[in-house]
Amino acid sequence: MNKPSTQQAILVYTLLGIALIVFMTPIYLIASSSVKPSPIMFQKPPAMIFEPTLDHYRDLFAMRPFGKFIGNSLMVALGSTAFSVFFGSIAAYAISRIKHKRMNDVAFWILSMRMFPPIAVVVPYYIIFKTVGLLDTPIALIIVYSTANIPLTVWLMKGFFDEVPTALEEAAAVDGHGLISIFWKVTLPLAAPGLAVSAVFCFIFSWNEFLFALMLTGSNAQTAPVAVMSFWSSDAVQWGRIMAGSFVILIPGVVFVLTCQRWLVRGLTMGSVK
Amino acid sequence: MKSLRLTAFASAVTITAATMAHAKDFDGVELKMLAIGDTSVTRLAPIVDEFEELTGAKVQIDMFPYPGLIDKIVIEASADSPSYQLMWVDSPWVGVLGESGALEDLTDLVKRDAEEIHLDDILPIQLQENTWQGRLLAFPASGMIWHQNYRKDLYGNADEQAAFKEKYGYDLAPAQTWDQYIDIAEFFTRKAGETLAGEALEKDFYGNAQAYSRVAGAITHDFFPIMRSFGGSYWDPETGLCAMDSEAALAAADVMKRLVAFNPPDYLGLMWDIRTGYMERAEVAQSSYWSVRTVRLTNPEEAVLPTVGEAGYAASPTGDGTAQPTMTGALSFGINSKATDQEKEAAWEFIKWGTSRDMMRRFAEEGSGVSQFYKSILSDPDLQEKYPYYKVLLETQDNARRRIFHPFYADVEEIFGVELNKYMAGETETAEEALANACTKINTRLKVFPEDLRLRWINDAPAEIFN
Repeated sequence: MNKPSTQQAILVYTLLGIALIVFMTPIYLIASSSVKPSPIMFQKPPAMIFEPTLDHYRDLFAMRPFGKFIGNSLMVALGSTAFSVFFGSIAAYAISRIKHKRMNDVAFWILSMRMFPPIAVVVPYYIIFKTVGLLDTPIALIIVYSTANIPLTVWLMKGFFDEVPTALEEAAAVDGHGLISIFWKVTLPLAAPGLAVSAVFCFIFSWNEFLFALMLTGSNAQTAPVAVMSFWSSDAVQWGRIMAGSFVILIPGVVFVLTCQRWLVRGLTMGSVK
Repeated sequence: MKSLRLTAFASAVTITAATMAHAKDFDGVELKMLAIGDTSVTRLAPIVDEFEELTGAKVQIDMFPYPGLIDKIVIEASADSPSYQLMWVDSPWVGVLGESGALEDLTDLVKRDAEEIHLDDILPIQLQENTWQGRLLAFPASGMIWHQNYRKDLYGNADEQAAFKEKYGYDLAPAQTWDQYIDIAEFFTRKAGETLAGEALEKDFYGNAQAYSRVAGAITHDFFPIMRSFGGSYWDPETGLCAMDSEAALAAADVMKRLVAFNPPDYLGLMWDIRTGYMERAEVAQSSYWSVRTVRLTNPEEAVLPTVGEAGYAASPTGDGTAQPTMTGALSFGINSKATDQEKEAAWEFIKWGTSRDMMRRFAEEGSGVSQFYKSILSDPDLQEKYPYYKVLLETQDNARRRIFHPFYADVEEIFGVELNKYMAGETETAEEALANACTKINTRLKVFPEDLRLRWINDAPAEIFN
């Protein structure tokens, strides 16, 4: 491959710089607003130099049990992710390996579960969870999020399992491995990037979801996004506290994605070159 | 200061004594409140243990975002065994909540306990705000009016007064008519480098800040008080259909359009608190909004204005300067109609405790931003000195009219928000076209229903507690 010319390098870095500014500006605004005193929050032009304050962070944890809400979010997001990746992988493996003329229809039917507009199912979910006593519990949200995450996982993982040569599984079978052992020791490790991709998508969806969390929880299982937005009241939108909360809830998502990054890059590009 | 402390102590003693009568009546009862993080709630939430100690009932307040709360209330009210016994209610919601049967009728409870709750001391319009078809569905926890805030320090400046008089031919004072309001807005709109009260401006200064954003119907909230001040009505009393394209409505739209030039350049994005922020940062000469936010203008920790100038407060202007109804509102507490009888009684006890005159006085003395609705508190000289806008709050409510309370309130807020915003942005040519579009859309939805039902929805029968 030829070394890029100086002009090409300048162009690439300029475009990268612009992209970086576009993507990082909201995060900068969140971070700076979270430490900006309320009286100058919306000053125009925006105050770039000011004495930072941690008041919004203090209020965030003093006025609401925000630590508990973060814990709820983690429990729900990790629970749903684990549940979805586990069952989604098994289902995907079955769809990938079972040869049947209607198998594509089954796969599409599973995907169609994700096509429901959330607002259409929120009341039925409310009534069901109310009836079985699961309203305002993390389990309710884990179940709801899993119904959206499992179809996604199935479709993602099916592609990865399709890429794993069946000859490897046949060789393992000759060596005396059973179906579960083959899946667990041979196929799944080879599809690990797919697991990482699925886990990241499941986690991000569950972590950020708002509508179900608003309608199906009270203060026992309230998640961080709802708690952050609860600073939007009738007499004021308390932007400082909202920004502080937004910045705090950015962190676990970033940590999770960075943790999975090693497998993620490989997973996203796997199969792109034959 | 000493008198304030004494009053606070006396209040605490009175609260304790009053509630001792109900001591431990509700041992084992657990109440949950579906609420928002509004000052009417956040002041109460940290002290609910006091209520438990007095009555035995345990109260848990769950705070949710304002957007979506009414949907959660409606869903909650559809369950036979409710999770929440107490509901936070914004007064325009009483129509939809009343029609859905979500809230318990408090009329008999209020009549029964009239003396205990000092019914005669409550501004009647604040109770009417929570009334639906003659039934009181919620009890005020924070009373509001729409009024104007202005820069008292600038209005009192001799140079500014002289210049204003020379230009407009009358004295600079809080506007009594919208024409005066527009004059003042024009007068104070200045560019950076020009002089304001003898000092060169470092940045542009604006004559007015009004909400023009369509988000959450913010512009509709500013439009209605102006329309009402011209004598306009929401509905045609003969048909129950939209009447917000009347002469009064057109005059209100015209006022808002004429004010555009004197607003900050981002006027189309100004929502409630972004608009109030301009006043709080001392960047505008005047701004009209709900009194629940006004308390910030007295607090240097929440606003720049108290440190660089002084806020003044006055009734909202009117079309012709004669007394027109002030727009009022209430943030209130209601009881889930599906709660058990014991829960309802405990919930009413909590409402009485949390909205009592003594509690409201305690909040005022502690410096909390709860807008008030007891006449004795609003007329208290010490408190009027501390919160100068109390006087305006009190005086304007004799002649106040309630907010829109129709079951289709949310549609009106949204549709008028979009149509008015488009007119202010120049996307719609005339006010007639904008208002006609809005009314047509609303009427299309309303005409599905029979006329007698539409007429029932607009019927503002007085709460039977006044009988």
